[in-house]
Amino acid sequence: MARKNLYRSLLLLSFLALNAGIIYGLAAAWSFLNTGADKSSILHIGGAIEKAYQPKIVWTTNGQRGRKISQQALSELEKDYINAWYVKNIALSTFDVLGIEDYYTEDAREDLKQLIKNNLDNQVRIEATTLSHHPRLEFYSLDGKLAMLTDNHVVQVEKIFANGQFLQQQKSTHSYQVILMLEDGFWRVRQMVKIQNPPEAQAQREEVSFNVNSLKGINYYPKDNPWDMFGKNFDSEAINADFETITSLGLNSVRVFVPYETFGAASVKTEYLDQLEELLNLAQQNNLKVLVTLFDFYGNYELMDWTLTHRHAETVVSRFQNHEALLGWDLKNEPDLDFDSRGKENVLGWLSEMAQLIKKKDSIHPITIGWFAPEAAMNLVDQVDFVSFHYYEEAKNLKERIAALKEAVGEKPMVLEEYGKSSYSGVWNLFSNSKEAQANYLAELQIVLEEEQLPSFIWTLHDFETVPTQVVGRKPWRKAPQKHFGLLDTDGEKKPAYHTVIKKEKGTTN
Amino acid sequence: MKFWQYIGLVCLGAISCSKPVDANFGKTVEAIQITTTQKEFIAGETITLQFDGEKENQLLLIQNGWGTIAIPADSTQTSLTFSLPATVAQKSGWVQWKLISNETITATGDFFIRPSTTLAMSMETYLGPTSIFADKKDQAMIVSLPQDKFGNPMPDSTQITLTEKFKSDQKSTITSVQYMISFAYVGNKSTVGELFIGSRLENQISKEFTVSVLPTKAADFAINFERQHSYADGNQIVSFTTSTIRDQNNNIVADGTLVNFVVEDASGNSLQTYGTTLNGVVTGKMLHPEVATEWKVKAHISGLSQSNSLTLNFDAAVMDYMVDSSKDGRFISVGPILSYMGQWVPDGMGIQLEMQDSDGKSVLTLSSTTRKGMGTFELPEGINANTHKGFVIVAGIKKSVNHKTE
Repeated sequence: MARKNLYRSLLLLSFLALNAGIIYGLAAAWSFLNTGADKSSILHIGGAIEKAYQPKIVWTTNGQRGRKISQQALSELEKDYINAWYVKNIALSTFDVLGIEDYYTEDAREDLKQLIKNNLDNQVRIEATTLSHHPRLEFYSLDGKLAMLTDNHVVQVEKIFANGQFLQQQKSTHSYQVILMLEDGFWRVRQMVKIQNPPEAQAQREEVSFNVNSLKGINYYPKDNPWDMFGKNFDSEAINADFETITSLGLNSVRVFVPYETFGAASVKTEYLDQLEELLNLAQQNNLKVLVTLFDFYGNYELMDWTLTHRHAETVVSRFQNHEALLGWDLKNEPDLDFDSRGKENVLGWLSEMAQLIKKKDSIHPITIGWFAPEAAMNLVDQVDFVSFHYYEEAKNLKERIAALKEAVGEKPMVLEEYGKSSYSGVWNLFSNSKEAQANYLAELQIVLEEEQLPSFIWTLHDFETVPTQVVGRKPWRKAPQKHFGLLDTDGEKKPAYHTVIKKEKGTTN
Repeated sequence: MKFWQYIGLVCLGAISCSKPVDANFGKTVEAIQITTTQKEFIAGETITLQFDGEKENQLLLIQNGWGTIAIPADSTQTSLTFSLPATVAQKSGWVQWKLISNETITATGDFFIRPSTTLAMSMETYLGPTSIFADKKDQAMIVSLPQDKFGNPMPDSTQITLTEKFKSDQKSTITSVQYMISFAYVGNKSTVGELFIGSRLENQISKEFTVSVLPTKAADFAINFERQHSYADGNQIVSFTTSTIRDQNNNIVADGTLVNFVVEDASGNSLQTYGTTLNGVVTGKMLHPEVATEWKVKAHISGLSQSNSLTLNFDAAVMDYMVDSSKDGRFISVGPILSYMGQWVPDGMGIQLEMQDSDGKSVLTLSSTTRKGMGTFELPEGINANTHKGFVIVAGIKKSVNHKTE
């Protein structure tokens, strides 16, 4: 009897549940069908699209004939002219002529399509970008529908592939005469004729004077937000306290990192720059020099991305080039680790161009590249003012690695930009490590550094409770050691390594 | 020997003229010499570049105005020869080339292609704006893009003939090409008309363009009025007519120009009427007032010009009239209302009635119009001409309602 009741109640409950399910389903479908498009999608007022191509453009409009152009009209002309270059570069690289329709007039389109077809027939693919333009508006018609400009010294970078094989990368400068017409609300290229480059005024390059020999530094992240110190986490009090600690250790410089995407990529966010300025101010108050490492977490070295990174560097560098606390610019942290995944040519090409760009913007401060391996630091020696590398390996091998590098770089000053050892001792390394081992490693390395008179930066001040995934990946046996490179543990207590450093720098223990 | 020295000199010249191209990774080994000495070509010619090197694995990279192409060596030739495709050979301008063998640059150079001497059939010409004012200052611009048959722009200083015709006046001027285009300002006319214009270069001819020269802003003008009589009968129409409205240069303003007539009466009320010009003349019309008054009339073209001010006097059309109420006080009759000749006023003249209670407070207002010189009101229940005071206004004459005492 009881069993029968149980069956009954089960049957009843399942019936109710089924009905509830059906009603819920119908209601969901009904409410879905009654939900209109939201207003922003109807009105196309969604977020602004980040421009994918931002070469440097410097206009000259004096001496222009015809009607005087307004700033508004000029910026519209510029936008479409640059888009015309962009769609052409895309077309040369992908043989896709889609955008050509919008930015070239009917006759010009034909010329361009012929050119692209020719490359397609010959199995030639060209990846191209332009880094800078110097357009000079020569003529603007009375009705504002026709414009003629001379674009002098267009710096073009091209990678040529034949039959799918990389053949050449070339950077060259060209000048063009261009006619544009306003059709259907677009400025379209009507005529484009290459001319000889007019003579260019050679800018005098100032010699960079700097001295890295006295550098005694540390790589710095705050304890609570490693690899993520800017933005809402920015804590100037904590940074100031840490800077005081660093000074008390007898050190005189810090290395900090500017994450590319977080800072807003090509359009750098002012609030982040303000925070970096505050950090530099705090460093100055504490008599510390700051080596700013740009492009942290950046990993796309494609030609198409060059102009965006250039705008980023330009903004950051021009903002701080006169700051007293600035030591210099490190273009990129450990770019040699991207050689395999991104192609050595791509990485070196990008770095070399970036070095030239930053030099152009800031001729006073030295630049360097934070190579991971001492051997990688032999790349682009001509482009940097001092050579930087990192070292986390056997202390006994350091000397010969330095010697090999010194031979390759010659007179250029060298800096050991990161060194240190994790004091992590746990399951992942079978408790084979200790805080003493860390201290001993630092002491051992410091002897070599002393002998070699090599300026250096320790990794790092704090132990960290968390390490973001993008730093060393997800694997716990890689993450765990990364948390214990500090001179101070997570409670702020001094580890033996702290004493090693202070002993060396000040000759005392405290 | 002499020949080789000459070749060497030309090559040296080519290298020193061209801006050094800083290649990042391509090793430059100038190992191969070009044997083609020609440095200038005409668009559309067959252009071949010959080198003294091996044919294997050579690729010629060519940059012209439109972009970069790469071509393999000509397989039909025994020597290292490149025949430039039409996409490069037909386009004028500066051309740079680079010979690449595997990943090495083996030679670099440049040459120049002049536009063809055969011109395109028609002259690409643009004109704008297509209408201008006849104020002696306003201008349009004609821009010509002379081209050869391959669409290449003609070199600087090419002489373009510009022909304009305005009324009986025809003239030709010469303009010269600078930066691929030639342009000229046309216009500065003081009379209204059509300006015809065209350009040509030898047998390359543009189509005929027209610029409409339009009258400019109206100058001040005069107005007059016309009416059948001067009585304020609320029936006749007074019309205001402007003089022919012209611009500063005596051109009749464009048809359809809006003119506003503003009337101000003796009690400060404003009335408005408007009209649009036809051959420069506008007529605005307005009904006579019902009350004797004085009108001040002025016409405006908004923001541009105005007329003189007119004064019109209207005499009273109605002198007096009778007002009666019925015995029970529910009906009020007005009239007969007689006009200036002693005849009934025209149908439709307004009559206002106001009823007041014993305290002088208004309790009812009614309005009606005359028919056959008479007007009647039927009062609602509760309001009565015997118990309430009543006033009637016709043509500004106020009369109280007489009580029927008998």
